[in-house]
Amino acid sequence: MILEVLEFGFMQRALIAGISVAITSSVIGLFLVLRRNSLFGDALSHAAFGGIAIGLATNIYPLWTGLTLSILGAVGITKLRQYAKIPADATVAILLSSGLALGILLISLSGGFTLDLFSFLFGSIMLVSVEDTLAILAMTGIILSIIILLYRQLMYITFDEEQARVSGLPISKLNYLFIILASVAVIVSMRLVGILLVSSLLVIPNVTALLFNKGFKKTALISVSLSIFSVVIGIAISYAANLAPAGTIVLVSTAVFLTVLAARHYSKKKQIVKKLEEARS
Amino acid sequence: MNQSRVALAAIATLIPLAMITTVYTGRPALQDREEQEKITVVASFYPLYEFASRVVGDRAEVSSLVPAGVEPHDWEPTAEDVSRGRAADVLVINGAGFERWADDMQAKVVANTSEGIEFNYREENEAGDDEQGHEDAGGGGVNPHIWLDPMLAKHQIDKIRDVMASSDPANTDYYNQNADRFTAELDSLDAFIRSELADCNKSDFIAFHDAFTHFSERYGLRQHSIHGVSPEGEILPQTIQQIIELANGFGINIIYSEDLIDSRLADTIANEIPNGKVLVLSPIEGIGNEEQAAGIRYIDKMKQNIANLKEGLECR
Amino acid sequence: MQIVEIDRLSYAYSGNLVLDNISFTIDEGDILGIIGPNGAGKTTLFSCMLGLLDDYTGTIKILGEDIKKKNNKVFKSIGYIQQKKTIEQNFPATVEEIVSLGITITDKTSKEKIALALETVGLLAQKDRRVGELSGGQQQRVLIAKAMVNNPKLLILDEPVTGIDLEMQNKFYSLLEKLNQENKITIIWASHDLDAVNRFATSVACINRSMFFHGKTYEFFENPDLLKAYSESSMQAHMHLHNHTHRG
Ligand SMILES: [Zn+2]
Repeated sequence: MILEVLEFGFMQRALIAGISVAITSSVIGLFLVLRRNSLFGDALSHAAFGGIAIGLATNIYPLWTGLTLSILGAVGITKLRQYAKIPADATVAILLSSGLALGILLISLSGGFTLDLFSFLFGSIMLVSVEDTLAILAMTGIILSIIILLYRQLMYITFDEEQARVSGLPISKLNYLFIILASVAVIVSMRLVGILLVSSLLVIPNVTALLFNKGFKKTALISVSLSIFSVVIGIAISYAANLAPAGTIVLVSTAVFLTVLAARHYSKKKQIVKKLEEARS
Repeated sequence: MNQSRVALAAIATLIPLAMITTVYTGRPALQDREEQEKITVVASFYPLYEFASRVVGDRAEVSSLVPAGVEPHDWEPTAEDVSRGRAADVLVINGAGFERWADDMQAKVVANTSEGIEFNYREENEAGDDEQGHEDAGGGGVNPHIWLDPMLAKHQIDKIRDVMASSDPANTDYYNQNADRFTAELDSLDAFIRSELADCNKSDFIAFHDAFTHFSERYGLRQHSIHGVSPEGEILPQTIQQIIELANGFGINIIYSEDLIDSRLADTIANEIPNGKVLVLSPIEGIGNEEQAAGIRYIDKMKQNIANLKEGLECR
Repeated sequence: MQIVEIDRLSYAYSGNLVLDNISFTIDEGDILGIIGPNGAGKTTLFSCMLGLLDDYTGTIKILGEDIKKKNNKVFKSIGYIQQKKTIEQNFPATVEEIVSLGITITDKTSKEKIALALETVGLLAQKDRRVGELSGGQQQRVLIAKAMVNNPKLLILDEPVTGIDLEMQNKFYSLLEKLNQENKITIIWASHDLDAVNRFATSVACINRSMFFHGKTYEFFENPDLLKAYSESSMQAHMHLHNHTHRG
């Protein structure tokens, strides 16, 4: 049943777009998680929500207004962090809630343009068109090549921003570039899994990958693989059991996380028991 | 320098003065108006707004709760909408479970336009897909889209006319005349539809949501739909597959989308079937401001629907 | 050749003079030990030299170039190890990956350079281990490898052995000597440990907001008056700090 459904174009596109988004969001997410900025993606997507509401209210293509607002919001909170010395989590909360509030306000003003909103909230991975898929592939290619090119610099900033600055890296330029990449990644994944679930794609695979205690490159590869696995299995289960795709994908990745966590816990216990036995004999 | 200051001072004193005089002169005028003020009628959403407007003509002030061009299914009234509904002399609703908020509005007089319609053909109705699940909209399992059947729309007109006549007996004859005129138009629309759909190869079509149940029953068609009774909600992968298989099974190549809805779902399905094409079949749940300004009304929308339906049903 | 020339450097932070008219030079191949009580301005001095603070007065020239010109070439030839740098235990990076951060331009020789740096600090065998699993002393050596992988001309170390046990400290100092003698790296090194400075530094700068002493190591340690004056000023600073913590 699962194989025959692959004959459908919409399923093929869902898989291709889903895998692309899995790759970009887990790569971008690794830097966010390590910089203790896990909720940044949430803040970006909620800012984008405000932007999308602007687009729907003014008849401008909503993804552009969403992207603009999330980039502006992200740059804004970065500046706020630098100049006003406000803690990172507080600035994220400001962006998150004001983006949401702006969206809600515009919706209530216009009498509720419910029509498109649902697909923005919960995504529409089954409805990506051929053009969408090509655009997502292109964005993925661009984001990935920039990250690969600047991989060491970004890792350095993540490891220790002050040291990176001392060694002559253009820190603020790199930070702004990263913010823009993250905004693009969020907007793209938002189209597929919705505003509410974007941050789970950024965070969960990376938190899981960190449990493996590997180096940076390996952690990134594990995270990307887990993310692809969750998307593919999530889509397959959502088809087989006729469940909402976005929610299924996120729950699969949560299940993977719990499994790895349990396995690690178990193997640690086993090691301790082994050591105790060795000590006794 | 001095001159401009004098001018400013003059303006500063004149504005409050002007306000005071308008308040005083305004009062008697306001009382006058109150005595001969028109009846206010508030309709829940578009077709009822038009139906009510046609019946009351210039003897009442009609407005719509759901703004122009907004999908009414999941619409919720704001506090201001509730007070508008309460203040109105008559609240016109579709009923049959469409306006779940209607009871809470506690309007003075409610014209429930579906009251008295016997929904007796529900069981044999083949509309929609079983897997899709017909979540009831709260009206005891009845499909609320009665306005799309011109004969049931006539019933709605009658209902509005009756309520208006009892609320405003002085204008009874006027309301009767208006209602008769519109009913005649609906009769000729019915005749038009019958003749247009008289010679068709197909009787099955795929609507975007379960809106054409009564219409199909009236004209001997079989409606299938992508969404259930409301055009919103997450679309599940199997649903898309079932619609594709259904379309292929009936040799249908036209998928209908709606005017107030993102057409991507219909596009996706049409992409998967041979010679697939998307046309609009409007449930007339709202008409946007631009179309209203261009003079497009219920009957025009119905005729557009029939033209698109003819293509899908392969009529001559 | 003089690697560092500092001329009348002053720095004020919210009205308080933290560095007051400091001038000194460092010759190539020197190991300069900087001593001074807590809060004497050692870290501020380094921040100025590294371009992290640039609202100072006076001039700082490194490799003959005024650092206010922000010439990246100059900064790339400086290796820097911060005070009490603890590596996040869960940070997902191998020893090799951390050292690779010190390389500015990657090419075919990068791997060899990393291996060489790790060999110098005696951690080549650990290159694939996650850096968070290493001991404090090993982590410090990883950071030294990172600082020296790019063949710096100047190494700046801000109290690098804080929190490391004595045996590791000695290994660390021998490593510094090795880097200085074999790789011809000039080293500036802030420390509390007078004994270590006496043993390893070639010259000493004693700073307490202003320059208290600058000269050869033996000149300082063989002058009892200087030593006494230094320990008194340190004690004062210490007492001050002590009172401060108790008041809070
Ligand atoms: Zn409907």
